[in-house]
Amino acid sequence: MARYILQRVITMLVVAWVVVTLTFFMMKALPGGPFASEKKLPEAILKNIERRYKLDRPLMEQYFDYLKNVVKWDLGPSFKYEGRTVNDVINKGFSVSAKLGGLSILISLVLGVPIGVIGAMRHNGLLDRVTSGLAILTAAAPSFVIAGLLQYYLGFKLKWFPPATWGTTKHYVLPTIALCSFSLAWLIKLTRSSMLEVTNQDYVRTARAKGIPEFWVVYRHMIKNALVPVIASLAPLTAGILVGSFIIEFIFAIPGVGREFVVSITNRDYTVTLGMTVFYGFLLTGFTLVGDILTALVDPRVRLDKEG
Amino acid sequence: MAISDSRFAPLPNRQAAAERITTPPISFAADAWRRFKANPAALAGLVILVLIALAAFVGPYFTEYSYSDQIRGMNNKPPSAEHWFGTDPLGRDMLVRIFIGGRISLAVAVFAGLLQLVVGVAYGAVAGLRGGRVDNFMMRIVDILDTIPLTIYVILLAVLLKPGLTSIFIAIGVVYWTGMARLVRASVLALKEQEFMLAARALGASRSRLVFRHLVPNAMAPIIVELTFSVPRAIFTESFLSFIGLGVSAPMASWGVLASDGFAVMRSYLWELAIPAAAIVMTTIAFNFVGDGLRDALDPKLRR
Repeated sequence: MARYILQRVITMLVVAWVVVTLTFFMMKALPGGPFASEKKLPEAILKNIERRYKLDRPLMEQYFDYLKNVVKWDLGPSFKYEGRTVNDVINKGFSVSAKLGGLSILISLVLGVPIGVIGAMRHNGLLDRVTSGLAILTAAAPSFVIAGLLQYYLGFKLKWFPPATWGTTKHYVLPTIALCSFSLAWLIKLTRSSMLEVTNQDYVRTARAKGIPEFWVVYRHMIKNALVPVIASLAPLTAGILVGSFIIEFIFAIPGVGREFVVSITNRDYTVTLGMTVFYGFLLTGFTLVGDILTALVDPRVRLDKEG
Repeated sequence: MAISDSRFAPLPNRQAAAERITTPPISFAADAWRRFKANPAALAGLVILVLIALAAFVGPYFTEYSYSDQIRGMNNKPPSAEHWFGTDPLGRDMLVRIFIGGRISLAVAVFAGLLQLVVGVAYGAVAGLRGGRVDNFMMRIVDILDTIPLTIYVILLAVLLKPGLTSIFIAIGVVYWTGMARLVRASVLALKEQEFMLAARALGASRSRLVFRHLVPNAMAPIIVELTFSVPRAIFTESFLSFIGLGVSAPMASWGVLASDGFAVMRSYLWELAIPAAAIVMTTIAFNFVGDGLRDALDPKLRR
């Protein structure tokens, strides 16, 4: 097990390095510099600014500087707003985004897994049909449409919940529903199909043949095995929530990191886009690592397969 | 006591009768189609898709309006007999814009699918066939690519390449082939040990013949299914990019652009969001139904 974890950690470090390198050189490949979009600056001033941000150095030197700074967790200044750094942006917005995202993941898991299990047990029953239909529908509509409709009907028309901004508990409701709808639908589908697959396994028949009460067959023999793919999907689930949060935070005017990321794109604030990409890359790499280790803990097959 | 031969009579030769095929032989494709037809949801999905594609490609020739013409004094008019889907804030006919938008969205989807087919299938087939160290190296690259948050790179690529159709094509194509590569590699690994491969090799088939004549056709079922599910993903990514301002530029439109334009005015003119959103939802659901139907129809284990 220790060897497996070590192996995964090393892989993830490589991934993190690839993320930084790829992002850095992609941003450098951009036509024109970060100041090219501004109104034309006199040559001398441009030179001065470039020296200030060390943009006149050779490319490889800039790259190693950037690597060093990333290791020290300094993601650099914003090129659009004076005195603001990428670290500021992340520090300010992260707690809000983490609350919103964490809540969405939690709700998806707490609701999605049981509904999926029940759906599979009562295959083609009423609940199964209703939730499957809903799942297809929410998975088929772009998230900004769902968010927009929620905001319009429950926020503006019925005034049940505040339609935008952030603050009290009531502010959480609409963005969380909008954000978790897709991942919830996805988890229901995943759990359901994974349960249905387990139902036909030999060990389930053996358990029944031994006369184990139905509840224990389901709980101990089926659910435990059916949950392996669910646990393995932790990383893609987080990725989905993260990307979804760009749009949801933007629509509901929530001061989180996702909104800043979208704003930085529309502002062409390249260093912020670059820094946040690296930040998101690290975040997801971390979640992938946790997901891999959890999967290996619950499923010995994974462990043995990768070590061998 | 001797038994005379006359007491024996030869039995009729049943062998030929037992071997006779009573039902007409059916090809794999015909069988798959027969089972696909039996699934109403899948069939409905296919019909809807054909209708949508027809509307998108032929529809614009049947209306007198063009997607870029602004009609004076006709801003934000609700659906009517003259303008079936109403008009947008600049007084453009929404019906023809939906048709044109469908062209773009479907083109993105088809292109993403094709690229996936070419790159993903080739990559997966090579990795699976070569095996050993080459396979290991190639799959580690895929592992790394899979861990990287791809949507963020789609955004970054779209920023880099300047917003527009080409950048959407490239961004989606470059990023979404890893799933296909994994799938094809797994099928190739399973298939290459089978007897028919051994036979083909013993008969001296060349490597390209092995791949294109024997491996790829046998792995076709999962490839097709994966393709149908990847199309909605491409349409989604396109609408996502459009929403954050990286879509095709005006006056061109895609469903994603139309929906995000409609989103801006939804409080007063809901249909301007509802109609493109409905187009996206219908297409996505139809593709999912067709994908489900194909998966069942192409799976030999479910053959009845």
